[in-house]
Amino acid sequence: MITLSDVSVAIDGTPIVADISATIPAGRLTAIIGPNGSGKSTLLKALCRDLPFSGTITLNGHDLRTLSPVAAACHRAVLPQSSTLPFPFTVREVVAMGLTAGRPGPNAQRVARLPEEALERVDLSGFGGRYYGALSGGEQQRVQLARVLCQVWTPVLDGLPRFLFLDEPVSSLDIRHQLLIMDEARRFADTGGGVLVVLHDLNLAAMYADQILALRAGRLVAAGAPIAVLTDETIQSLFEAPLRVGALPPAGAPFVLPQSTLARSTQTFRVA
Amino acid sequence: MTSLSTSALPALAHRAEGDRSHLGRAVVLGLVGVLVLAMVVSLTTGASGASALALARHWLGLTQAAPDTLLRDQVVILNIRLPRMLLGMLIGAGLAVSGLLMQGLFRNPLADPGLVGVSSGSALGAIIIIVLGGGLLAPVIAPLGIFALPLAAFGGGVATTALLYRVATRAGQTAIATMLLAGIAIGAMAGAFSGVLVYIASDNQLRDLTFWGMGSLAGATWVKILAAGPIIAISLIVAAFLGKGLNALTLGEATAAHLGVPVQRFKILAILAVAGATGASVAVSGGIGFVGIVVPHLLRLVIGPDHRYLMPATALLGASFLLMADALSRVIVAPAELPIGIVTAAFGGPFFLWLLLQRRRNLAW
Amino acid sequence: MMALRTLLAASALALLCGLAPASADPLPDASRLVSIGGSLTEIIFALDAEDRLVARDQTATFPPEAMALPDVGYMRALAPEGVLSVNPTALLVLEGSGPPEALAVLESAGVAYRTVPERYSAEGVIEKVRAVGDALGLEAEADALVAQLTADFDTLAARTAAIATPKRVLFVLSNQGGQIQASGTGTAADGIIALSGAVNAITQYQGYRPLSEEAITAAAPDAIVMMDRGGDHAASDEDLLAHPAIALTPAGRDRAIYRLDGAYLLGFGPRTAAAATELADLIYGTQ
Repeated sequence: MITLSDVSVAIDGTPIVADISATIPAGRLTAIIGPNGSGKSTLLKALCRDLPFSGTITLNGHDLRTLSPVAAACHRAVLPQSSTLPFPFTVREVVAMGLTAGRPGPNAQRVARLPEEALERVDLSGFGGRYYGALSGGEQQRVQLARVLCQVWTPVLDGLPRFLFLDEPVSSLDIRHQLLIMDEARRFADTGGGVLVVLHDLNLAAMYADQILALRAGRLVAAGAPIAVLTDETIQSLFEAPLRVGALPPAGAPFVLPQSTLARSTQTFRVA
Repeated sequence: MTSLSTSALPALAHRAEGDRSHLGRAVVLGLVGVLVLAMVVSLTTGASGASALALARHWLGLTQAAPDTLLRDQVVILNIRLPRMLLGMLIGAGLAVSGLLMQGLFRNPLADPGLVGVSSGSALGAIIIIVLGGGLLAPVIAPLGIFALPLAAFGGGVATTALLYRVATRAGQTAIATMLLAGIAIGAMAGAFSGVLVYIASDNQLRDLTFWGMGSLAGATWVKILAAGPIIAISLIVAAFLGKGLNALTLGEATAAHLGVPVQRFKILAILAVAGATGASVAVSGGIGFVGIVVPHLLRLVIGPDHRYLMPATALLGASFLLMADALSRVIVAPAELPIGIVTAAFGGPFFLWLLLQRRRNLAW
Repeated sequence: MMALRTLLAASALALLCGLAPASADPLPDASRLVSIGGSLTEIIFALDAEDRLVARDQTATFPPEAMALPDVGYMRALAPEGVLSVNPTALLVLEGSGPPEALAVLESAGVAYRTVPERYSAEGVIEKVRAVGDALGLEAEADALVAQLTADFDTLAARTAAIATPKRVLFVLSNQGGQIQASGTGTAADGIIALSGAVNAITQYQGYRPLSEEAITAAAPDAIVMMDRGGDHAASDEDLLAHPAIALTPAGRDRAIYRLDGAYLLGFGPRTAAAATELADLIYGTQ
C-alpha cells in the first residue's frame, strides 16, 4: 500500500501540487485524471522520487525518502511516457535492463527467459532481435512496458505487494494495444499488485480503474470509485468543458461523451 | 547488420533472439588473446636487435649470452620495453575506458574526456606542477615526489568536473546539454590558463613542457609506472563495476534511478574514474588522442552497446591498440621515433570517418 | 650481429685497459659516438673525428656528410632504444636534450653520456669546442680549433668595435597569419645579434614570444633577421612588409630583411664567427 499525506511539490518555488492525501492500495488499479497542467505527472514524479516533495509518502510502510534505490526498485517499477536510446540496443537487451535491480521474482532460475515472456505479454514475440531504435513509437512503448514488467514480474514478493506506475501508457498506441496494455495493468492488480496510472482517456479510466483521483490546479478535487467521481458536475468543473456522462448497458459502467458547443447539431454522431 | 552471428558457443541450447551476451563473452576472450599477442609484439619489436627470446633462454640456462650484449639486451628489455609495454597497456586501457564511461554518462556516442574539459583540466594540473612546482608551490609539492604530476593532473580533472557539477546540476539532476556547454567553456578556461602559464614559463620549464607534451611513451620508466599506474589501475577497477548501471543510464537518469541505480553516487564514481584514468594518462604521456572514441565505437559495432561486455572489451582493445600503435611508432622511422599521438590520429582519424559513413548507411542501426 | 658486437666490445675493453686517460676527463670509450645537437656534430667534424660518429640527431644538418648518418630523432624527444640500436659506446649531448629519463636509461645500458653546456656567445662556442675535445680525448686538436676560432672572433670583435651607432635588430622566428613571433633576450638569436655588433630591438622578455603590433612599432628595428627555411615557414618579404606594424618601422621602410640558414645562424658552433660576420655585412654593408 502507498499512502500520501499532505504531499506538496514545488518546482522553482512555484507550487504545482498541494496538500494531497490519498491511499493507493494493492490489488487495485488507481487512475489519476485531470486537465493538462493539473499536476498529474508532477505527483507521479514525486512518487517516483524524481522531484523533491514535502509531506509524507510511504511505500509498503517504508518512508519513501529513506528507501534505498535498490529497495525502491524492488517495490515498484515506472513506465515513462517515452524513452529514446543513444546506442543500438536490441529489443531483448532493453527488456533485460528491467532486471538491473535483480529481484524480478522469488525464483531465480526463470530469470533468463523472463524477457521473452514479457515480450509475449506485450504482443511482441519474435521482436527480441530487432533494434529498439528501428521500432515505431507504439512498439517502443510496449518494449518499455515489457522491461517494466520484468522488473516486478511477480506482483507480490516476500508477502508484500509491488506497484506499477504508468505515465500515460497508451497515448501513442492504437486501440488494440491500448486495451492490451490496460489488460496487463488490470491483470497485475488482480494478482495482488498495485497499479497507479495517469490517464487522459476518461473512458479507459472508467473501464479499468477501481479508484480515480481527480486533480485540478494541483489539488485533489475528487477521489473514489469511477461511478462516484465520473459525474456530470465533477468532470465538467474538472475540465471546464461540456461533458456528459452516460452509462453503458450491461454493467452500468460510466462513459463520457465530449459535446462541443461548436459541433453541428445536424451531424450524425459516428462511433469510430 | 541485423543478423547477429552465432558462432562461439554452440553447446548452449537456448539462446534468445537479440541476446548478444555470448558474442560479448567470445569477443572479450578473443581480445585477451589479442592483448597477449600485442604484448609479445611490444616486447620483441624495437630499433635495437635485442631479443626477448634470447634473454629468456639465457635466464633459463638454455644458452649462454655474451656478457656485454647481455647487459644491453637486459636494459632494452627490462628497462625500456617492459615499462613501456606496461605503461602503454595502462594508458591505452585508461583512455579507452574513460571514453566509454563518458559516452555512457552523457548518453552520447561522441563524448570524450576531451569534450567536457577533463583533459584540459588535467593538462592544466600538470602544467601548474611543471611551471610553478619549482618555486611558488615547492613546499607543497616536494613531499609528493614522483606522484606530484599525476596527482595534480588527477586533481585538475576532478576540479574541472566538480566545477561542471556546480554549474550543471540542480536538485540532484544533471542537465546533459548544460554540462556539455559548460564543459566546453571550462575546457577553454583551463586552456587559457595553461596558455598563460606556458607564456610565463622559463626556457627550462618550456623544455620540460615539451618533453611532457610530446604524446609519447618513449619516456616510460618504472618510476612513471609507479607514479601513474596505481591511479589508472584503481580507475579501471572502479569502471569494471559500472557496466550494468551504465546500461540503465542509457534510458535516462530518471529511469536508471527507477531501475535501482543510485544515480548521483554512480555518476560521481564514474567521473572520478574518468578523471583518474585521464589525468594519470595525461600526466605521463601528454595527450594521446582518438583512443577514447575509436575503440568503444568499433566494439559497439561488433558486440553491441551492452556495457557489461563493452567495458572489459574496451579496456583490452584500448591496451592492444596503443601497444600496436607504439610498436609501429618505434619502427616506422627507426632509429628515430614518431610521437605515438601521430600514429593513433593517423589511424584513428580515417577510421572514425569510415565509422560515420557506415552509420549514415545504417540510419536505423 | 652478435659476434660483431662482442668483437667491438672486446676491442673497446682492450682500449680501455691499454690506454691511460690522456688528460682531464675523456669519455671512457668514445669509439662509437652519437652526437645530439647540430653544433656538436659540426665540432666533431671540425676536429676530424667524424669517423667515430655512428649517428646524429635531427638538428645536425651540416656538413652535408653528416646527413648520411642515421638520424635518432629530435634532440628533445630521444627514444632510448633507437639510440641503442646503433650500438653507441658514448653519447655527446647538448644541454637541453632529453627527456632526462631517456638519458638515464641509456646510462644504465652502459652508454656514458656527456652534457655539453650551451651559451650563446663567443666564449660559449670556445667552451663547447673544449668540452668536445675533452670528452673525445682530442685536446690538441681542440686547442688548434680554439686558436683558429679565437682569431676569427677577434677579427669580428675588431670590426664590430668600430661601429659607432649600433643598429636595432628584430629577430622574427615566424610570421603566421600576421602574428609575429620574435626573439627576446637569452636566445641564440639574441646572442648572434650581439656578436654581429647590433642590439636586439626586444629586451622586455626572455625567449621567443608573440609580439603585439604596438610593441613592434615601439621597438623600431632598423633591420629584421629571419631564418631561411625554404618554402614552408617562410613569410615572404612581401607578407612581412605588408604587416601594418612592420611597415611603420625603419626596417620596413628600408626593406631591410635578411635571411640566413637556421643552423648556421643560431647553431653556435664552428661557423658562428662566419655567420656573425656575414650578418654584420648584411646589416652594415661590407667594408
